Amino acid sequence: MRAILIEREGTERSGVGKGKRRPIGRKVVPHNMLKFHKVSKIYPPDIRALNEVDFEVAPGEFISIVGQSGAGKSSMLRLMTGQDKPDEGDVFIEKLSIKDLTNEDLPFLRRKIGVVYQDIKLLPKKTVFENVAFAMEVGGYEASKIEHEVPKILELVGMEGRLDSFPAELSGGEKQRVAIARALAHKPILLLADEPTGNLDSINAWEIVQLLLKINHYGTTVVLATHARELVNSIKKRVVTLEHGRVASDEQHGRYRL
Amino acid sequence: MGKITLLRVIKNGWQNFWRHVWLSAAAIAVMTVTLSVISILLVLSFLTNLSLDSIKDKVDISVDFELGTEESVIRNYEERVKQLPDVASTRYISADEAYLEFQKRHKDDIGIIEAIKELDENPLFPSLVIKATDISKYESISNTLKAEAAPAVHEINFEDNRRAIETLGKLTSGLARGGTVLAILFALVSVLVMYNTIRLTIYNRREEIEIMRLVGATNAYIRWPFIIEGIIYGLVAVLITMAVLLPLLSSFVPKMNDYLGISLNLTSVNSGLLWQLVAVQLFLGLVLGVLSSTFAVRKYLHE
Repeated sequence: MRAILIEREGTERSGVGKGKRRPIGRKVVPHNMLKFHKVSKIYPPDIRALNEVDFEVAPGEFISIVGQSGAGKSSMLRLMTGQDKPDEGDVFIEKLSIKDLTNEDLPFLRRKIGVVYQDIKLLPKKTVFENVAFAMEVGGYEASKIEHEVPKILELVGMEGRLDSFPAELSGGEKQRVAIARALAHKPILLLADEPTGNLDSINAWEIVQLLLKINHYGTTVVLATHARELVNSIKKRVVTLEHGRVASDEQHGRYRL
Repeated sequence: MGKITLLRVIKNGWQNFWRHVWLSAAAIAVMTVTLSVISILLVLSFLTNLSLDSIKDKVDISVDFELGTEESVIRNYEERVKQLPDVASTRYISADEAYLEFQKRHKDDIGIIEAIKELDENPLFPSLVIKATDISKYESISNTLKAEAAPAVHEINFEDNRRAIETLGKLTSGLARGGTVLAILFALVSVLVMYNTIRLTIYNRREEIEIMRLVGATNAYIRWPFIIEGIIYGLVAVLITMAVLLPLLSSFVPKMNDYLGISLNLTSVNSGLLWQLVAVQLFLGLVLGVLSSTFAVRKYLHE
């Protein structure tokens, strides 16, 4: 399993090295970016956080997963990042089975996906530049490439003026932008956003969603988990609604219906 | 680990050291105390060992010969003594040499010097000084010598200080044993305190470790900067310990040397013992720093 992962890392990186990267989302490969196959997640003693969840995400899609607190959104994301294993069924990122991942494989999975969290999770003792650079450093990118790419990614999220600031010196919206930049730094095939606007005011939240849409437009598959009704309704893309751990609805141009 | 990765973890370790400067200061302070305690215990053991050696070194058997005994007679006797088991060395002191030594020893005491000058002839006996291979062998050598009736032997001096030597031997070996137990106990306590301090500093940063995991850092990549920090703690603690210890030693050791009649050299650069001390500190500092970090960080790596 690990060998496969490393091999993929390698080919992707050489692609990056040639300058313009072909958006993976437009690859003509007939498989899903993300697939939940009859997934159940049971927390002891008998809480079914997810109950036979079944859905697929095609490359390049933008999908919102909505539901009230406790509906299973977080459990779902934890499965996608390999923080949890499914108790029944399996989750696939491209052809990679989460169930089969070992602890040694996890770092490699996490270099394929980018994750944005509600509580942001920036390294407090590193500057904006270093936080984004760190995600590339762990992937073994060369220093010259990091020097070159990080400012560009930060420009994409509108944080090019704050390279040397520490997270504590930034506002909530700014921090989340940096976190998004970090999630993008290693060119993920899939961007997961877990309530990224949860701690933000409505203007900042709207800007963050615009940023996610822009990233999706460039070709990265985006999964947005949220319970922010207005935001979801403004996106006008696919919406999967979770209720009590089950998929209650799945619509191509969905609305928040709860 | 590739070269790029190595440079990166060193850079990260160095950076973390400075950006968590208060945590670093706490860890270094505790490690400095640990190293100081262990160093002081070591210096004390140097002192006891040296003074024990010097006391043992002062023990000998002195065979005095009648006044005016020919040197050849004494040399003959010396040859026979050398054949005995457990004799390490012998030294012949002629009456003239004894006289010179006597004068030298009492050079400040004019009364004695004058008195001895009044005499017509040298009142001091020629003698043979015998050293044994081990302090416990003196008794048997002395007994052997006493048992045989050699010509011209005036007196065999050993009995006098035997009891004192035995008591001292028991005392010092008891002290050494108790001291070692105490030293190990002290060292263990300091090591525990030190490990816990490093554990706390890493506990403080558990969230950082979790974040690093989430952005795809391998466990090794997370662990190494902590190990580098541990190495820096160790090195800085050794420097501070030596900076504090050297002035203390240079005022304390000469006094002890005078008092105990030994010559412990711990303050000049060509002192082997000083470098031994530094080596022990470096070894402990680095091992403690590296092991504490490794163990403390393990918990958060879900290994």
